[in-house]
Amino acid sequence: MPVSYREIIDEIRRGDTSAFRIISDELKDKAFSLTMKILKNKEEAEDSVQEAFMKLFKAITANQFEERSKLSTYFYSIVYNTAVDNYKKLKTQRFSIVSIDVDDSNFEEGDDLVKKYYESDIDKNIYEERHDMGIDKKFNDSEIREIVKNYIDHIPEQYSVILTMFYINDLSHEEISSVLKLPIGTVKNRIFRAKAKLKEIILKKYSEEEILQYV
Amino acid sequence: MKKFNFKISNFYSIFNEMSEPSKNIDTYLDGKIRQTLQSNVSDDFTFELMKRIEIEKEFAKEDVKTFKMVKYITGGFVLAITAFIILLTVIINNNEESQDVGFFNTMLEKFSGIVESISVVTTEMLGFTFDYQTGLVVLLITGCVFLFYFADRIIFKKHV
Repeated sequence: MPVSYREIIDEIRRGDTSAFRIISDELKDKAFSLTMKILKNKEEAEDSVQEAFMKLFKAITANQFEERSKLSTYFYSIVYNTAVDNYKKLKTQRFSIVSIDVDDSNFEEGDDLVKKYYESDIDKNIYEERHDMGIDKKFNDSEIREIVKNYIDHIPEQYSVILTMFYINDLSHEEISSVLKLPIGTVKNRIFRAKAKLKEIILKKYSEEEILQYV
Repeated sequence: MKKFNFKISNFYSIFNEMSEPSKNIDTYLDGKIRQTLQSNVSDDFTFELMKRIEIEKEFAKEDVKTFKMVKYITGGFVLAITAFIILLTVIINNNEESQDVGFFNTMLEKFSGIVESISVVTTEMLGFTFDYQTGLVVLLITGCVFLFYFADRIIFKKHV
């Protein structure tokens, strides 16, 4: 059984397509997580990931993948570009005027990160609840998870895509910068700002001691 | 008066004490962000993907067969044109050297008749004469076009 990507690629090139299953099993959920952040629809995201896998398969069999980069980085680049292309196609088909903005050139660094989150009703509810119950509310892990989820769901895609690449796809700052064609400083800054803001939100609700007791 | 005794080690210990809880919260939040961002595909995802891969493999096999056929047909056509040009040149040269009436000469006369009638039509319609030499040039150009097409398919596209 092949153990490394190098060996798997060789197997596939020799005609053993079943070896591709190993790549799929390893990367499918991670690729899906990234695509979901762009398409926000399970069926469309699955189709998009399938398309990305097909592109990878063709690239391997046609010797287009030249191992200058890691296979996973190469694949996530395909996943990202396929998702963005599909998003644009779907947007055109639906004549949608309410849309996410996957095009980074239209994005300005600023307070969007905070504004979007605070504007959400869910966040408002959480803060109203906190106000009612007071600061001594018991530390609740699942509630923190809910806060994190709401936060991630409401921040701009320019942040959530980078966070997914960093936390789920395990890409380095340099790799994210090369996939998204963004300066490395911007990548680092967005990860830092997104995390710092989340920390600030959580520390407004719970004290450090409460969290540390749980940790 | 008590003298303030500053040691760099004290400074680091204070700094470490301050940063440690923060580091723990960061680790805790990293875990939470990871959990939140993680999504899973449906159970039949790999099955569907492998089905598509198998179909793609079959298509690729068919493509190879078709490509081979196109290669042979194009190659055969190019060879036929080249052979025809060479044959025609040989016949014309022979005809100029010997005046014997034979099979080739009869064929040549018929061919000559066709070329002349085309020549009359082209002169009337386009304003230029279509003679043997023009015919050869046209055939040569056609040969070159096919040769280029053939080379393009075989040599260049293979490396893209």
